[in-house]
This record gives sequence, C-alpha cells and structure tokens, in this order.
Amino acid sequence: MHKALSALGADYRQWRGLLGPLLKVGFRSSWVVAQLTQRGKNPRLVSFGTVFFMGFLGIFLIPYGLLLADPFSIALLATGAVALIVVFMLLIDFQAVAVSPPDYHVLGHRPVSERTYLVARLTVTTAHQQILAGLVAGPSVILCGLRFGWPAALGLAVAAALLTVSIVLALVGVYGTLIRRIGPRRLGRSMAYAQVLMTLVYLLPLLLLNVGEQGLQSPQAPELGGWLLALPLAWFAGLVPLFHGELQYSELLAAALAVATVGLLAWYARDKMSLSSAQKLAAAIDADPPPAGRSGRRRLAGLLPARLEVAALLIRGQFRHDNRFRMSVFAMLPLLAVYAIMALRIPGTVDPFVAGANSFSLLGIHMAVFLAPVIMLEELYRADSYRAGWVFFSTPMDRARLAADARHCVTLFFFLPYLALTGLVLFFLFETAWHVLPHLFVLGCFGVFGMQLSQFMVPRLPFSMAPGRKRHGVLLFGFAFFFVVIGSLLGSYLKFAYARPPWAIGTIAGLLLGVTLMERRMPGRLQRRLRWQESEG
Amino acid sequence: MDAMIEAKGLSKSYGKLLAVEGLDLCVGPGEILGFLGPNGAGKTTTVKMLTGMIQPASGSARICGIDVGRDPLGAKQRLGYVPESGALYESLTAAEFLRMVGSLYGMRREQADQRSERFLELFGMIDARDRLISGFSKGMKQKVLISSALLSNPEVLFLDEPLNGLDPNAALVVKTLLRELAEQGRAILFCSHILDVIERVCTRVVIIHEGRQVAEGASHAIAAEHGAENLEDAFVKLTGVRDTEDVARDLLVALQ
Repeated sequence: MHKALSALGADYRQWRGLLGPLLKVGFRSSWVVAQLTQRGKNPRLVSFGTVFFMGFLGIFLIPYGLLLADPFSIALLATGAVALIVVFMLLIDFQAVAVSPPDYHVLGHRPVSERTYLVARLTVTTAHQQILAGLVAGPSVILCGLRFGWPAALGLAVAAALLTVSIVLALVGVYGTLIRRIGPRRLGRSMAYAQVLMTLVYLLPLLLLNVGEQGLQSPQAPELGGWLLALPLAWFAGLVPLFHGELQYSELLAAALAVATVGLLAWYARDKMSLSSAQKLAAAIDADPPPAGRSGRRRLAGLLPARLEVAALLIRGQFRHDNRFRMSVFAMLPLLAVYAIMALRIPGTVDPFVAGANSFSLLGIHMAVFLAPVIMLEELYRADSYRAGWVFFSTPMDRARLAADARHCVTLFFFLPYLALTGLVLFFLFETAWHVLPHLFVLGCFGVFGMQLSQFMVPRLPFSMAPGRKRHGVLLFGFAFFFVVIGSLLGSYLKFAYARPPWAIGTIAGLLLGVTLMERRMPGRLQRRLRWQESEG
Repeated sequence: MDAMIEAKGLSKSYGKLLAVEGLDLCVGPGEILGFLGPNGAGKTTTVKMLTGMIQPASGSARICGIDVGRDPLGAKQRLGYVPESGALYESLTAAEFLRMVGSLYGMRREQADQRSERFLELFGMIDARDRLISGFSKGMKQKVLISSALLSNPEVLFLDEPLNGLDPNAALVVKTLLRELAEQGRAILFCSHILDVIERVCTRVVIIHEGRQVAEGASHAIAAEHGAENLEDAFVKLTGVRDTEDVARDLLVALQ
C-alpha cells in the first residue's frame, strides 16, 4: 500500500491519517442518519443507525430474490437496489462524503498535497458507498451463493462493487465539471435541480426495465441481450451469469462494457476532486443570494391572502437562498418515482375504482403523499440560519399565527404542486381523470390532516432550529407506522367505498369535517405550546 | 534579523474588486504583529495568501525563508493557523480531530494524543475530549482550533480573531501564551478588532484599508504620528469614512 500510494504521488502517513476521520465525518454527517438519531449525542449510535437502516433494506430484498428464477434476475434486483441507494445517498450526502466544503477550511492551510487529498477523498467516498452497497447487496449475495453457487455470489459482489465505483466516479465527474464550468452562485442554485435530475436519470432504467418486462416477478425471466444491453445496470448485472459459467457473447460484451465504463469514468473524474473544488463548493453554499425580485414580491402580494404574506416571504426567501432546505424539498420527488415504480411492479390493474384491483398496489404512493408534507413541515423548522429566529422570540409577534401561516404556505407552495405531480402519476396508472380526481382529493385531505396532526403534536416556529438537532425521529417513525397501517387499510376500504357512492360521499365529507375541526382547535393549541418555546440561537 | 513572515507586493482581486494591492509585510522572530483593518479591508485575504490557501495575483510570500508559491507544503509545515470560523469537522470528537491534525504534520499518534490531551486539560476540556465538536459551545470550538494550531509546535502563527468566544480566563491564558511563544522566538501575526488587546499584546501594528497599508509601527508611534490619543483614535482617523460622532447623531435622528 505504501509503495502504491507513493507511485500515485500521495503521502502514505497523511492518507492513513485522513482516512478514518473523513470516513467518520461522512457517516456522521449523513442525512439519513440525521433522520434516525440525534446529532451531537453519541458517535457510535450514529454509525449504528446507518448500518441498521441499510442492512434492513438488504434483508427486505430477500423475499423478492426467492421468487426469481435465475442469477441474472437476482443480480438486476440487487444492483438496481444498490444503484438506487448509492445514488440517493451520494446525491443527498454529496457535500458530506464526496466534495466536502469544510475540507478547504480545515485542510487548505495544512501541509497536505492535492494528490494526497484526492486519493484520500476518493478512497473515503468509495469506501463509504461500498459499505452501504455491501449492506444492501450482502443478503442477496448470500442468497445467490446458496441458490446458484458461490462463483455467482462472487460475481454479484464484484458487480455491486464496480457499479458503486462507477456511480461515485460519475457523480464526482459531473459535479466536478459543474463546479469548474459555472460560477459559485449558479452552482449553488442548480445543485438541487441537478440532484433531482440525476436521481431520476438513474431511476429511469429501473422504470423501463419494469415496463418492458412487466415486472421482475413475471414468469419470463429477462435475458441479457437486445434492448437490455442498452442499460448500464444490465452491464454490471451481466457479470453474474459470466461468473456463473455462462460464457456467451452478450455476457462477455456486458462485462466488457461494465469494466470500460469504470475505466472511462475514472479517466473523466481523475482531476475533478480537489481542495480547490471543495473551496468552490464552499463558495457555492456560502454564495450571496441574488437580490430578491420586486416583481416576485408583487406577484405574491396579489395572489395570497394578506395574512399569509409574512410567512410566504419568509418561506420563499428561504427556499431561494437556503440550499439545504431546497434540496430537502426536492428530495421528496424521487421518493414519489420510487413508489410509482413499486406500483408498476404489481401485475394487473391498480385503479381502486376497478373491481379486482390489488388493494396494496398503491400503498407506496399513499405513503409518499401522506409522509411528504409531514417531512416538508419538519424540514421547515430547521435552517442553517436558525439563529436569525431570535426575531420571533424578542418581538411582540403572534407566534401561533406565524406557525399556522407557515403550514398553510407549505400546503400552498409545496404540497399542492406535489399532489398535482402525484395526480399525473395516478393518471398514468388509472388512465382516466374521473378516477384520479376523487382519489387525489381523498389523498390531499389525508396529507393536510397529517400536517395538522404533526403541528398539533409538536408545534414549532419556522427556521428556528439548528439542522440535525432535536429531530423528531420517533415522531416521524410513529407517523410512518401510523400511515402504513392507515395506508394498508385504506386500499381495501376505498375499493369498497368507491363502489358505493353514498359511502364515497360520506368518506369525503368525514375527511373534510376532520380537517375543519382540527383547524379550529389549532390556534388555541399553538398559543399554549409556542408561548414557552425557547430560542436556540 | 531574518524575516519569518515576509510578503512582497502581494496583490489579489476578485473580479473587479481589488482585495489586496501591493502589500509588503515583514515579521521577525519574537515579534507579534497586530494586523488591523476595517471589515473588508483585505486582512483575511492577506492571511490566506500567506498560508498558501489562495494564490496571489502578483507578489510573493515567504514563511521561514520558504517561498509559499514554490514549496507550499514546506511552508505550511512550519505554520499554525487559527481561522476566524468554520474550520473544524464538527462530526468528529475533539480527540479525533486533533489526532488527525497531528498525523498531517507527520507526528506519531502517541505524541499527538499526548500533546492534545495536555492542551485540552489545560483549557479545562478534558471531559469533553470524546464528545462530538458539533455539541461544543463557541468558546470550546475556539479552544480546539487554538490547540490544533499549536499541536505541531509551529515556528510561525497566524491568528484571526483568536479570542472570539473565549471567556476572560481563557482569553488571558491565550494572551499570556502568545507573549511566551514570541519570547521563544516565534513570529505571530495577530488579526483582531479589539484594539486594546492589540495595544497590549502586539509589539508592532500594521493597519490596512481598502487592500493597502496605511500605517505601520508601534501602536503609540502610530497614534503620535496621526495626532491621536491612542490606537483606536488613530484607526478611526485612518479608516473611518465619516466622523463617528456624526454617525451616532444621525442614527439618533433616524430614531425620531
């Protein structure tokens, strides 16, 4: 190792000194981990949270793997899950694990060469993602070994590892290019959009795979060849039949394409990860925001009720200038795509208005619509500039009104567009607007009710909490559990109610009544609870 | 006297903004140079050029006779830097961070651990050594930053507002420490807006305004040269755009 690093122009002792700390920083700064634990409490708990979460996802794949007939199908499933997790984690945690802005401030004045930094950062990023990929793919590797022999299992392990390396290199290359080509301000603004775009680009092959093959659980197992060879995911999955002993043209071609991809991406990314890139990323995150347009303010003033203007300006300003908040909102979009893919995997119709529809087919989409507004509301409470929240605590303002208005703004600006997007997905699945609209209305009522319930239980003022602190992980998981139960029952209940108009009307009326009653009780509750909330600044 | 920190004709601009223009600096062994200027005068840019964090557009910088542009790693090996803020991995514990810093300067792990433990003990933070830095107060973070700058026993120190967030006891320890370090022959460049601290701690003062040096010498000499009672008055005369009493009066008028 010493000689290999010297040949690369890196300092072995410094590389070794950086490796552990940067790996810990990557894990402990993870967004997912922040959802599961409270930062600043226990470093061991933080790392355990990640391992537990990813390991659970890996085990979740086993029942699917048992249904599949050949090693290539298991490989597609496992590499698909690895791609999904690695891309999702890397995009969300890119600033923590790939090009970390604090690196420049911490290391820029220390005697570390660019080459040592590059090698350490690449090692850490790849190792970080390989650990996650190993946890996700590990159970499938064991399953593959038990069912098809250990050479196939080795093939799957190699495929998952190479795929992970390729994704790391691709993202490092693309962001490195963006960092160099566009200015800090434009980079800062485009990062959230780039995140959504790249997540969807990586998800698209999975979507195509499911549409083209009618789901992985179809009796006809997909064969490597034809249009499947156009999907990068299949190149890596193709390594498994090759290791299994299927030395055919398509397997050899897929393996060659996989290895060539890694080589090309390594060449492309070779000089994209540096302290100067970290400096530019830091500048992008700290960049002065563009001046707020007066026309934008006038537009808002004209469209919104006057009482919402203060909260709307606050949220709009934060959305424009706070990358963390914007990226957390955009992170909701791929979630919807994932659940849409899950719905597509169910054979037959998913429309609850049609007799014979699978009651559980829309569970994922229901979950996405129920949980997204609650998560958005939770994100609204946190900001890097939380210290500015002193103004809510030191002025004679109506805190209850601000909190309620902020929730209404989340509904208007984020949840309604999200619901419209869900409507498009449902239209794709149901193929008739008359079925989509009432179902969307029911889901919308549930989403609004979820936000009300969340604020009722733990009311907070917007942007007044430090990011990563006092995250209500238990509350969110409680909500997730509650909505899984509701969502599971809802599929069957709505199928029953939609077939009987009086029941359907009664359901909608009941939901509206619930939302209205909750809204009535809210001001008193907010007044009582927010009176004693303390400033964290 | 051989200069330990030396800058000749340093210049840097950001787009059309000229941050530093033709700056000359020289700090010898045993000297504590107070580096003053109003906000945006170019102090941090100058320090970043001297520590090799950014490249100057023109001019040169030397640390202990080593050209920062030609041998940045050699120069960085000899300096310690306490930046103004944001220079810690907050997801590490204090002990982990200091061990990492030690390894970057080629220190053996036992040596780094021993020294960092001693620093943390002296700063009254030994019980917090295994806690994540993200949970520290501003003063505790500053103590970790100061410990990390001193860990490699550097010959040259750059301190940007090092007393930020420190309680009076810790601040007094740091001020005394700086004098002792200077007496041992180290060169220290001290940036601060607290002018009475500068007057008491620094042997010499340089004031910059809009990227250029406008005064240099002992603080009482600068005050005398500009007909001021003390360094604060001289600073206002050299860098204030308006009379401070006028500004205060206008603010009171704005309240009415």
